[in-house]
Amino acid sequence: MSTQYDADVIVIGSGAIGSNLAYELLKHGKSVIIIESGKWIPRWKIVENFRSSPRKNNYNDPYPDQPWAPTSYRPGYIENTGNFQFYPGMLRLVGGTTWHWAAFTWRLLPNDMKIKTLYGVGRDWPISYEDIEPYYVRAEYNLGVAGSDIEDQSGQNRNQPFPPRSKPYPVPPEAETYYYQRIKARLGANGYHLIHEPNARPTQYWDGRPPCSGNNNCMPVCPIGAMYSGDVHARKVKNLGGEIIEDATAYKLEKGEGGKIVAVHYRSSKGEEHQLTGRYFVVACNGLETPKLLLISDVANSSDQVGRNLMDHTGIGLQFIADEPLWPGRGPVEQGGVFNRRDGDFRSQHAAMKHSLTNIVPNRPVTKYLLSKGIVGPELDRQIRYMSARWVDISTMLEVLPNPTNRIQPSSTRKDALGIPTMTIHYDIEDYIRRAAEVAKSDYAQFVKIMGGTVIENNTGFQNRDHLMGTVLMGDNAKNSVVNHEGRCWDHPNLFLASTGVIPACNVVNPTLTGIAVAIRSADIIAREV
Amino acid sequence: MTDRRLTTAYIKGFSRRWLLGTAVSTVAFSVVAAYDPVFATVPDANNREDIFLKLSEFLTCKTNLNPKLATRILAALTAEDNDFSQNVLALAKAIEKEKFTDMRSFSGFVTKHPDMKPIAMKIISAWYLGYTGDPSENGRPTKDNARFVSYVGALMYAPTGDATVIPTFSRAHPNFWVNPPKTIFTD
Repeated sequence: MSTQYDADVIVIGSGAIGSNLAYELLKHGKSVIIIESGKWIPRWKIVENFRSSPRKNNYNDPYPDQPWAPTSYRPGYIENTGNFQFYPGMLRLVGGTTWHWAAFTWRLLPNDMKIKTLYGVGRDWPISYEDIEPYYVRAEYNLGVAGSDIEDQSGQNRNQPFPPRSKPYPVPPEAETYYYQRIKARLGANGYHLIHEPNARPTQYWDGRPPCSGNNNCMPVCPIGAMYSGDVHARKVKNLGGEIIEDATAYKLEKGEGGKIVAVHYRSSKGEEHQLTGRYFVVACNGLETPKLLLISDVANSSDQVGRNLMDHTGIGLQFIADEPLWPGRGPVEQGGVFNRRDGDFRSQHAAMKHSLTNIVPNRPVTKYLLSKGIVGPELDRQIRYMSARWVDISTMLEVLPNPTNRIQPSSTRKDALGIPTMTIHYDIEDYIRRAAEVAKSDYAQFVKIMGGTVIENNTGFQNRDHLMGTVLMGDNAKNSVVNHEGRCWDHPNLFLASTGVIPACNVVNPTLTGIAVAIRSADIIAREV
Repeated sequence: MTDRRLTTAYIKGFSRRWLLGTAVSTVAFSVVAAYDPVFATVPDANNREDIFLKLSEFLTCKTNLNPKLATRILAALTAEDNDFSQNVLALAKAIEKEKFTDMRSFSGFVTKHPDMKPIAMKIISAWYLGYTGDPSENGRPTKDNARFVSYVGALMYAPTGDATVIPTFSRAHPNFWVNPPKTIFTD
């Protein structure tokens, strides 16, 4: 008698990566159930929550934060023990954390996937750029990425497109903002290479989404749904006959014979317990919740690497007032940046970096700054306009290396409302990025000088960048990695992990597109086997 | 009762020029009258809100502030700080004592009365930022005392209203941003 399953594949987590993977499986004709700890929330509610919140610089704030499905900012949910307060902004709702992101959809460089070989640091990927390139294309077309087909995205000024592409971007890049044009002209004349950041904000109607109209609120929510978010593919999953079970928090993966996973157990907000069986299971709960679920289930960890090697693109920032009006805040929240130090032999000594020019309407930080200086009356209004027109904000991301002692673990003492352990994170800032931060500050000095600037803040300290990588990293050896090149757990042949947590070397670029590309590749592999 | 009606009548007759001119000490007196039991019995809520609105208009140098927002700010700051009414009273007394009439010399005023600066800045901040308190931020997930006042009514957006959007709203069409605002040569 054949075994009966609830579905061919059970996917845990409905974010951009889990939903894209599920969508690909459904296209292959497989049955899929996604379980999601949060719920469907209509966009208009999130927009109204944002507009009526005093916490506009808290990107989790407009989203549900429930005792049974806490966001990462819920006080007490994350306990830090390292020298850095690691607090990424992670959400719990259908569609996941891509509800608030700037939608930058970068490819890694071929060199990024072999940094141990080339630079003697970190780890190599077990696959090459050529292996993943076709899946980058599919991910870009799923998301409707707007990008430049002519720029050298490595920032090395090769005068030809790079990295190699087998297919053009789905849609062309948006027009350059005046702000970006001016900074590009002035920094570019001094040897800095400003590169457009590919992004999932189409410049024309794409797959039911309108073109970006410059509402300047990609984070924490795009009010018009131009920017991609994971709910796009969650809806596609439903339209293709997949099921999404909301209010379902996984707390245990059950092991069976032959190392296979046989069931996932979950709880509702009311404490009701359920289980689902499947031929294959995919954990796609982001780079913190994924290893937490594995650890509390005691699975996939024969290497003792689950939860370790936690990486972010830990960064620093700069704000200054330029000597000419640039008018940031017109258009999307970010458009491009300085990429000279994205790659090079220096990576043997210090981290790679990118300096992104943020383009967020600056009235709030400008006004807070002026009020802190006691500026009031007509002068306050005058200076708000003057400084807002000249405000330059640079957000730098640094390349972090995998270190086993930087890790996420289930809390041994604290539990959420469902009785599931919360998390403890140990994250130390290391010399590899401290050295890079000093180089970044030397760039900052140049930027300020070239732009005739007046510094507002050039010593922010290290900052979260919300890119969760390394915690279930991919490798070519079962003894020191969690998944193989397919995204399959070494310990469990029917358990795949679909998360940016599989990334073993992260360069300085936003990792979601890479996570989706790897997940689409995993979906093809799973589809051949079930 | 008669005194309070007279006070209200005075306040309703204020003009911008008058506010910024010689009669500002009367504003202070009105605030004193509203808050100080020595000058009046505990005034009704409408009176307090009206007077708070006028004090706000003085502190922000505006004549057209939204009375509903004044009500919200007064409620938020009172909820945040039990001593808020007393602090406002102290501020009003200090304004009256110094015959302080022009916010362009605010720094001189607070140099003489440094303890008055926080309360004045709280009121001004609420109008400009659209919230009271100290809100939590990305990477700083703490419980906070922030209270929402207004989004589009926050005064910080008015000076740039012709050039940039209030985020979530759109001002034109895709790619409008390729050009600078028309004021680029005079900004």
